[in-house]
Amino acid sequence: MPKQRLMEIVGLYREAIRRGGQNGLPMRLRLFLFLILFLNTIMLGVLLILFSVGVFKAGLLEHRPVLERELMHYTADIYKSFGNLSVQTVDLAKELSAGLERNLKEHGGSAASLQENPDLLEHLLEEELDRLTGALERSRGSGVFLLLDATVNPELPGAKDSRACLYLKNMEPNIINGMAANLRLSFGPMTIARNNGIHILPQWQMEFDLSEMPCFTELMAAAREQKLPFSRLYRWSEGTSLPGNSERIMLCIVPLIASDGTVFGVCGFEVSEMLFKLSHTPGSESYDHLFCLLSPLEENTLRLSGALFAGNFAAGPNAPEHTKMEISSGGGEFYRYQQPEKESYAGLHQTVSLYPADSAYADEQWVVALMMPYQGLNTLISAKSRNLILGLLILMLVNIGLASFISHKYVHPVAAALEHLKEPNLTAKTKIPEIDDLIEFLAAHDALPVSGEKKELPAREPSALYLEFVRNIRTLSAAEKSVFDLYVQGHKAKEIAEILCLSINTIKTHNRRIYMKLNVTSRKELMVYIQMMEEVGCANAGNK
Amino acid sequence: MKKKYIIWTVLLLSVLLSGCGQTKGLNPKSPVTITLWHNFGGQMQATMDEQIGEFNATIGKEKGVIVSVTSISSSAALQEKLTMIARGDPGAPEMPDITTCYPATAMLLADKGLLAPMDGYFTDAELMDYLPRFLEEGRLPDGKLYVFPFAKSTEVLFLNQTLFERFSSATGVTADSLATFEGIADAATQYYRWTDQQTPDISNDGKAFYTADSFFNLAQVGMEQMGTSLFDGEKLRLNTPEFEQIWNTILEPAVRGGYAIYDGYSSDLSKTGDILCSTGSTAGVLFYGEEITYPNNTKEAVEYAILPYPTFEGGKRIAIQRGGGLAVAKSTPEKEKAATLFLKWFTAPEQNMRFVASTGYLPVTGRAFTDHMEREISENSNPNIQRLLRTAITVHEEYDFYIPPVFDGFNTISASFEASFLAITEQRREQYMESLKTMEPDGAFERAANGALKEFIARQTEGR
Repeated sequence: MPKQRLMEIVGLYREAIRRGGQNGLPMRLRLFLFLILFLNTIMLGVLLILFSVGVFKAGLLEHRPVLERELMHYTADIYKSFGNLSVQTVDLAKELSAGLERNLKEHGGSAASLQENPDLLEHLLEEELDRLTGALERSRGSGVFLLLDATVNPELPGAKDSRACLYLKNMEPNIINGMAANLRLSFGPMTIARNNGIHILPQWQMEFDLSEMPCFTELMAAAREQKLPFSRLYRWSEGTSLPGNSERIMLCIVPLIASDGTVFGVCGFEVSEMLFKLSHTPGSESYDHLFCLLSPLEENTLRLSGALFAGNFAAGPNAPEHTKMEISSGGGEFYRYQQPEKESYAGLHQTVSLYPADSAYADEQWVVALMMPYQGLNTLISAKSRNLILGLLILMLVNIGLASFISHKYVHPVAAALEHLKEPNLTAKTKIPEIDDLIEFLAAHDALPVSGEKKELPAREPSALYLEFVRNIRTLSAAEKSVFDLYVQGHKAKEIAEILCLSINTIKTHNRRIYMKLNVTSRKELMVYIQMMEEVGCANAGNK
Repeated sequence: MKKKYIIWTVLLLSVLLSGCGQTKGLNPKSPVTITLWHNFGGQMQATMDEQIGEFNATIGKEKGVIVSVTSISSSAALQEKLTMIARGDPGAPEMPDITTCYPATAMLLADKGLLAPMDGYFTDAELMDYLPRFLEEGRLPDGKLYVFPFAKSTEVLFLNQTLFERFSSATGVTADSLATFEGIADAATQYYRWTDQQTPDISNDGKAFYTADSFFNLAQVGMEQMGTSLFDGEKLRLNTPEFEQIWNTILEPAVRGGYAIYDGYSSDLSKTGDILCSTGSTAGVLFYGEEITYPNNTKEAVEYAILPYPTFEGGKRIAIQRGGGLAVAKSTPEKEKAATLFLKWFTAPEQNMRFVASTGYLPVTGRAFTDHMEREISENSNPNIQRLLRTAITVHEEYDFYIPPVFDGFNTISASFEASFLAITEQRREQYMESLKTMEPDGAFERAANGALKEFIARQTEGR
């Protein structure tokens, strides 16, 4: 229904414009067009001001500081959590080194002769179980491990790389405070799990295969060579997976060093990608596609194979394609990160220090990067301008509606009053002072005796219309004729009603019929013809 | 006239609001993120991650839905967190949009109006394809579907075929005899004796043959197999001849050493060759692997046979129905729609079979069994999964599922049953070993078993 009505109104305006071309524009359309012009000129002015102050270019500029702040926040957060874990790893290494050395001594052994006592290994590991679980529960790690540089069975074919190990994973590193850690044994003697009520993981192995994790061997070798304190020897592994496991992790590793300097194993904490994701996924609702990376940096390349990723799965580079990303200036406010033959990303990065300046690994560079697919960035930028343009369009529609409303509201009573002027009875008020004045003026004008006025009359020679008028007098009924005659005598409607003893309404009815039969539209026209009749009568008399 | 202006105003406002407001439907340009909690760790996590990633990259991207995993917990811890939410405990986390959930927990959440029933989001035709028993378990007492079938499992018999063949060729015990619990009990007694004989200089050091992940499940199913129920309302029915038969079948091998008395997963014992067979969830298949490790770190490649759940002699073929489903939190229509979109995609046969094939859960739709199973069996690279899927077909065709009852105290009864059983059998086993020093085995057993059932019933009655 509103649609129909809308179409009708549009049709009316169209018709008015069409007629306007021929007869001039009606009042309502004139006012409507004037208002539209006025309101939209103001709107255009606003638009020009917005253009001139660069609102439409602001999207890109506006996102950079927001992302910069986010990046600073995540970098600080990662620096703090990884730093804390590094410190805890160093402390753990010191405690474990001392505890294991003491225990070995009690059993008549030493760190240097660890491999000579394979039967002691399980006992050594079990003795440190509480320390490890306690450290894990206090940390923000997803796992803890202790690896001894010895194997329980040196006779086995793979004994060269096999090492006694106790590796515990916290299945819920994001645990709610107050709940006990949900531990699983990933590597270690089964007896320890059974004795302590710890379940194993499906990928459980009794010992750890060093060949699968070269960083352990490298770290022990480095510790033997460099003779640095624990705090200068810890190292963060690149993102990797444990043997038989698909979950990506990073390990903070510290060598175990006895008081005589013997390096006899490693220990450390694990940060799983799930934990990293739960802790560092960008949470801003404005940036759905944003993700966070902690990645090793090599010249101008992010080595994704060693990175941890936090973000929605749909947004980031898929795990199988983890390779590398070339960093280049994106030509705008953001860097461009390009995976070979893959999607490119826009974002920012900042180096994060995982080691002290004098660490053995101080030259390893890591960055925290916040990025999103270019497509996502473009959507964000255009979204703002789109909203602005949409807003202006809506404002324009509102302008049209208002113009239509105001023009209608304003012109309607004027038009009605003008219609009213055509009516014979002009006594009613229109409540528009100017029109009411005009009505009064016309009424007064009408009240003047027609004969006494000098009016512009039809041509002295009776016209065809006049003759037609005279002929039509014969068609009047008797009652109408008596009313007509009284008009001819100069009486007003009210006087005629009194003379003929009729009501004013009956006189009005007679009037309508008289107008119709004599083909006149108003009393004024009727009076003109009556005056013509008198003039013609006088002329004829003069002629005679 | 006024009417006309009102219509115009309404029209104008509706135009404005439609421009500014959000639509209730999904919009790929403005994706809705739904959070998911699940309890699939380890290798199962990789499968979940992969499938969720695929959803997000395909249909999720197309429709505007991003599934984000915000917690991976053990099943028990996850249910505990959900219970905290249902009870409104201080420090309870925020309810996720989708969570793996058991009917008992779902009931708590639904009572608080925290779950969205899913009937309205699925057509009858869509629901028709899901296995009726699985849907039945997800319907709560108000008749609405709150727990959508997704990771359903049953129990089967895992048999270390490699070690069993050695035992079988020496003693003549065949795998067929393991079809009944009585057969398993006999085989266990013989296995203990046979392994004891391997070390003639050490007496009574035989090895256990069997254990169950849950003796409580065994008792429940056993009672159903014998045509009765372990429950009378919310109480246990233990003073029955059927339960006595179950008790006696288990107790003797447990006391004599043929059954391992172990408070943990049976697969832990299997991985070190400490038992030969066990009944446990199909979802435990990944824990068995293809090798066992002995205490000196030597490893042996082994093959497992996966057999349907044993029955008590003369009993019907009934196996337990386990596992949970996915529940959707009551939320905005947009989020509920997004969550059910994910459920539909995830449980569709193509996706469901991939999950099944890498986890050991059962397919949840009829079409998965009829159209996809054979191909999956032939293509799967894990022999244990292949065997499991074959057995799943047998169970699907020949077994009826027993659905444990749902009531508040169920978990407490279950825990108490297990604890009492382990405590009594362990104590009687010690008594038996002590008696062996002075008595013959049969006499020692008679003495150790005396009054054990009574004690067990008393413990259950007293709630100890």
